[in-house]
Amino acid sequence: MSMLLLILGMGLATFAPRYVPLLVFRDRELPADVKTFLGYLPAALLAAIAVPSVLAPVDNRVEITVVTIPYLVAGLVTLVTGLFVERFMIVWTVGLAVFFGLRWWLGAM
Amino acid sequence: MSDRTPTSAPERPATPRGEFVAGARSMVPFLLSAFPLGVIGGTLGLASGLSYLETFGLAMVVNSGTAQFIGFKLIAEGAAWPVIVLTTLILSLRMLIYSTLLAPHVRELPQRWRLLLGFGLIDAVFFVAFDRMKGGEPARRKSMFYFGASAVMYVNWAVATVVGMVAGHLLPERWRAGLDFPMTAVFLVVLAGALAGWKIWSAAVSAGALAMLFLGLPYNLGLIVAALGGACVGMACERIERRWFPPKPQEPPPAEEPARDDDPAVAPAVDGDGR
Repeated sequence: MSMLLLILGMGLATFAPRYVPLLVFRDRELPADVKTFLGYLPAALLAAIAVPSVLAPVDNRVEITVVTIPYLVAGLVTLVTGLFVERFMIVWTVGLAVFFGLRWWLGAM
Repeated sequence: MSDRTPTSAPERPATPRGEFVAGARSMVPFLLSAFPLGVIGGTLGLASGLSYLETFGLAMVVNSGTAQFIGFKLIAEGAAWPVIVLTTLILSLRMLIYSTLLAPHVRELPQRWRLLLGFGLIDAVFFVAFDRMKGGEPARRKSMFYFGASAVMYVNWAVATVVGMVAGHLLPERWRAGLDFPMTAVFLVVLAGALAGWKIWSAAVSAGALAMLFLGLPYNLGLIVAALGGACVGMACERIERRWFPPKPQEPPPAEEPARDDDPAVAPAVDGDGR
């Protein structure tokens, strides 16, 4: 039940920004500053999610162990590969291969 | 109507059905790149502890790939529901840009049509269909093109999600452990695609640093603080650039031209494959 409400809440959160301007704004455009701010939000949010997942994957602590090394290395490899290769699946697969390869090699699997 | 539109070919369809089909066909390149992402979404939904119905329901209700992935991750981490909803909202706020650009061209349409237009608004549909929506044709007719594009993307995502759930079901239990990295990798790939230019780099690096700084905040609130802070840094960089390195006169100012690739406000890379 609570999951249903959560899904509906998320649905509303993604739907409102798409629909409300069609409903009310009509002729007005967003101010340039607002547009700029909104333009930077997704990348900032993705970085805010991904960076701690890579740097502090276990219990939100920064540490170097056989468990965290695969996150650090594979995270960096994924990001750097993504800067040069455009195909999503190639970059993602490379990142996963490094991650699971390192885990297996370090014996943390 | 510009010549870049896929449907400006001589045999341009005139019937509503023809418009719908043309819109659907214009999405073919996006369908191919979105499908694997949808499959991954279906698999990771199950790995995040959601049921089949919840995974599929979430995918179909939010109709936004990145929002769906972020939802899975935060649900798996046990984040508080207001934080999950707020994070989804922050991610979706860029849709305000598309929606305000679209609004003047659809205002004569009935309310129900606009509801559907809004729901079907995703990056890929906007980029392909907006040229068409700006044109002088009757709003109902050009909307059919838009509906065709968004419907085919939606069905494609639904099929991909189901395929992903079946694949996830077949995955051995041992492999599902450590499945938080595949999700993180999705975010990293999408982020890497958006990192073009020093301004967006500054925004992303600041957001990452702020997220580390506020890691201790309860309910994953640090995530929201960091995202807003990072976007503020991006905006500050934009100001600095305008002040110290004004654009050359022959270049149009970034805010005026909606379809430029290097404008972060509408960069298609942010949602990976047009989702």
